[in-house]
Amino acid sequence: MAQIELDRIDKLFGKVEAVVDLSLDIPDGSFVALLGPSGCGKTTTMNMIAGLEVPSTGEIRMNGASVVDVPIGKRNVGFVFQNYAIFTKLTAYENIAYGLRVRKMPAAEVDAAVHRVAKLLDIEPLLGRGVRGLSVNDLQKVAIGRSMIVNPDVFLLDEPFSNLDAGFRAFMRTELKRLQRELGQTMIYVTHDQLEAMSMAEHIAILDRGRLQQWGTPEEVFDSPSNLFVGGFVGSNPMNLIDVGLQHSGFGLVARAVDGGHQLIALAAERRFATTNDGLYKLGFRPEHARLVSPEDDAVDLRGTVSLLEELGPRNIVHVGVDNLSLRVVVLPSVRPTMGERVGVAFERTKFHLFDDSGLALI
Amino acid sequence: MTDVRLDHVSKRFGSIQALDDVSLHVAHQEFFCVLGPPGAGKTTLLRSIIGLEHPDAGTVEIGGHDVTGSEPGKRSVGIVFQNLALYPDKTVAKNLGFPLRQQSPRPSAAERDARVREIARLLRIEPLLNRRPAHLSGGERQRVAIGRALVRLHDVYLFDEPLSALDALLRVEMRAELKHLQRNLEKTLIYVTHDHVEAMSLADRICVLAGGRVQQVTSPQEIYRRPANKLVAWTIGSPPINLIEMNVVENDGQLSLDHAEIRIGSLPDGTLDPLRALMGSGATLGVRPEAVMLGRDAGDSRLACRVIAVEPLGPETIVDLELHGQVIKALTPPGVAYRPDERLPVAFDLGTAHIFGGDGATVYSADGDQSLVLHVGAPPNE
Amino acid sequence: MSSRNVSRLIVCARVLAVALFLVILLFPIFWTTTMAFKPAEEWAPTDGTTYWLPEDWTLSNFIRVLNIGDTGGFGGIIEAPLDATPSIIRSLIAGIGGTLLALVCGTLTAYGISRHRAGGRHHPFSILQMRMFPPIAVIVPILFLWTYLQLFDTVHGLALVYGAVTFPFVVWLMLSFFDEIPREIGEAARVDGCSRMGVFVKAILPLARNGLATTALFVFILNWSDFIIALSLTDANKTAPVFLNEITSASTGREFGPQAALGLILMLPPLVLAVFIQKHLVRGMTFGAIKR
Repeated sequence: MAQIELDRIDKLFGKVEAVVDLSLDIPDGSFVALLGPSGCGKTTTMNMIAGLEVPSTGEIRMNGASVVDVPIGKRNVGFVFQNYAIFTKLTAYENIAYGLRVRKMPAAEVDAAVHRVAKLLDIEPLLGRGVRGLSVNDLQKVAIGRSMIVNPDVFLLDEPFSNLDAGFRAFMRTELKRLQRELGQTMIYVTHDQLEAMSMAEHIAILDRGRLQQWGTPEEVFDSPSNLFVGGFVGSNPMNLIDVGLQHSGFGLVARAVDGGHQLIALAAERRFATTNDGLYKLGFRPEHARLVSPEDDAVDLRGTVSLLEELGPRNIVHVGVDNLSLRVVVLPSVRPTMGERVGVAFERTKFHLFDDSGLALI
Repeated sequence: MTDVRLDHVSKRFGSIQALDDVSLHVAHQEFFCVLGPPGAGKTTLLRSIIGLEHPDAGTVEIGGHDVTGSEPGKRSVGIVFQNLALYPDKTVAKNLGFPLRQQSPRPSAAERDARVREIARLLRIEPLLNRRPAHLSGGERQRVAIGRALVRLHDVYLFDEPLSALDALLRVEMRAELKHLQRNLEKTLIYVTHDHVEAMSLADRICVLAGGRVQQVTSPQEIYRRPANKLVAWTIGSPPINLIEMNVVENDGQLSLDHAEIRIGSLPDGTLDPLRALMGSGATLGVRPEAVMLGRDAGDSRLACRVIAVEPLGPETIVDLELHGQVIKALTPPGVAYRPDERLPVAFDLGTAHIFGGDGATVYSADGDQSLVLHVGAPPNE
Repeated sequence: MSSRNVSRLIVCARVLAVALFLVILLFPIFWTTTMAFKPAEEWAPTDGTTYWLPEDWTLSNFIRVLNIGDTGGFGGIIEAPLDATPSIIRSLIAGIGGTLLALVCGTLTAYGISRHRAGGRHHPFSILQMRMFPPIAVIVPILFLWTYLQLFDTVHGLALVYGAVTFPFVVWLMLSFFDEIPREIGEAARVDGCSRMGVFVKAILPLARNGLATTALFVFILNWSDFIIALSLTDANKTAPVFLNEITSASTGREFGPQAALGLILMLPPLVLAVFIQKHLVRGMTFGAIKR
């Protein structure tokens, strides 16, 4: 069991800032994802929690006590890597038992522990087999079993599923989540795949260029991104972004699309932006939070023509060209506008965002 | 006319049958996607068309000419490799110009330069012409690789999972660009992918390949609504379709599909004979996750399932349910907080359901037909 | 003793060990360099004095060994004429010739093995085995053969043997470089319209040129420094290392000065070559070719 606190961590490699002023408070028993593109500092952060790297400045505390000087072997963390470290000459059983055997645990206890772990992971029938013959999927389970058995306070997983095929990855997502709930251990999961982070984690820390961009639940980062980066990184369809000029006029707050043929978008009813200064902003809304309407509809925000229709089965994506802008709208499979058709796009009033020129979201 | 025709093509590597009697006809200017899991033989298929592999049996025709034995450079086919295979020592301009230099008769330097610029403009990589591949981003490299394939005027272009290494969002962007590109090119395109969303989005027709065999060739909508077999239904859709094993039972002359907790009745007439033949072996009911309705959406359904896990994806939420020891996935709108271990009413929209026979072949696809009826409760013991 | 002192002691020991190692490594070079500039009296004085540095700096050793002027004699003794220049030229021809031969044959062989699995599973290994036994083991039959083919005591005969001896070395070095180049690059070139030889020359070889440069340097050094093969297969047409070995005189025994001077001269070509191709010795050119 462990509550982990990162307090104003900096990590420099030579002159490269890998992590800058990072503070996180990871509650005991929670499932946390560190999410970001490659080079964002997520793996460095994990390595510092593990004890593989020492922060340049700042404190790491586990259960309130500083662990910066505690070597990796004494931190009681479990690891699963992308390239699972497995002894190929040993059987699955011996691999899983390894961590306990080097700790000189009596054989009977080791045996009980291995079977308990194997049962959790549903790999009991494979225990006696050499690992060479195992599938990639089963190998990953053995690797998880190996780090699980020493009963670590914290589990660290570094993109453990990236070698698995898509179907099994989806399955393992569910499995890992179930496992975490049953074990009740703190789990920190590093990934660049927003879908993995969203579907498994209770809290997500989104990092970019070594800096924390947002810390929140999956719903929070999806519905209220703190800045342009988060808005663009989370979600399986890119957010629609429009450069707008914001104006307080006689009709209330109005946005004028810079690229989209200077169309006017009335935001009068949006009290949350009532005190915003006039000026240039980026207006963003998700394809899932918009709908297609008739161009004459009162609710219409932008008018354009259909430039592309992607029929994906359970939903369709309609691309609407508004001058030189291209907007995406997710619709039901029954909505199949023809190419070149004039349509209106209306976005949900409570679920759009304004970003200022530094990319920060206005609340 | 530059169609591509494969006739009974087979290819074996040692003990692996990569292609097993594949016959395909890709029409002139069609966007044709080959979809399948890793190891399905997709890449071998592409390599046979371009001439990097020679089939053990069968013929490959391009534009009506048998090219089975000819060299790749002589086939008027361009390709974008999965790992791009840019020449790392050459600048973008030289990468693009390389195929032109190999052409005979070789175009003049001015002609080559003009063509390279034209392609660079088309793909919006003009500012990068003097850079080397190592100094490009993933998306830029992708464009250069596509440009190198397009720079020579071929009849057919092949794409081998060209987007697989890009970040998810970039993939979505490039997908739309490719679709626009194909419309401007007016060429025959054959596109290999393991991502069904890519295939659905891009293709005029999709060919599902598995185990070296063609499973089905048809339009994206058709393949989603009327899969030829269980494998095709499983390949298309994310999360994959729920497959529930059912017994075929006859009571008082009434045929039904039975399961420990549910029964499917009112089977359409056309399905009765094939299902009767499955009385011993059983059939499989296929219900897509988006056709599984929960809580309030389930209405007054008497079927109740335990929630195992909840995966919020943002625009939608996957809920894992337990149905008699089996995991059923439901794709639901966000906004409702489901908790693990709570029991929820569950209903199936059988208007999109499928019934598969023992060999996996589709016996019935509802495709909007609402005649199937779901009964809840253990079937009477006989 | 505190832990801080212990760690200081360890650092000291480490520095000492490295220094000792360096002395052993660098002493021969120091000896050769200084000796090359010492007059005859300082080579090996009978009175037991040790000259760490030449007292009387002189270029006479170089002048003598290259036969480029009159040294004016040493202490009144008329020295036997010495002229290493022809032997150096022979060494250069045989060394470069052998290197080119091994590079051309070895590179093509390695490409064949890497891309087309030429020779199946076992032959590539038997090529490596050729490198495992010392050349001296087969030098006697070659001597007979070369005499019969009238290649004995010729520079081109020597180049042929050098090429053959270093060929396996080239194959195995180049093989690893070719294996690193993604197959798709060659395939892309084929699709782009290259012939098979065109693929090799236009697409693959430019990528392997770092490896080629490294290999060329290694192989040239091997050939250049050969002593035993040249000793066996030449008589009048000696190469420089053999010539160096034979610089002796009746009056003074070993002539350390000219030997050191020639030794210093022999160090130059590999050094110059290494400087020239230094930028190729750093690998990493294939980065960016494929997606990772």
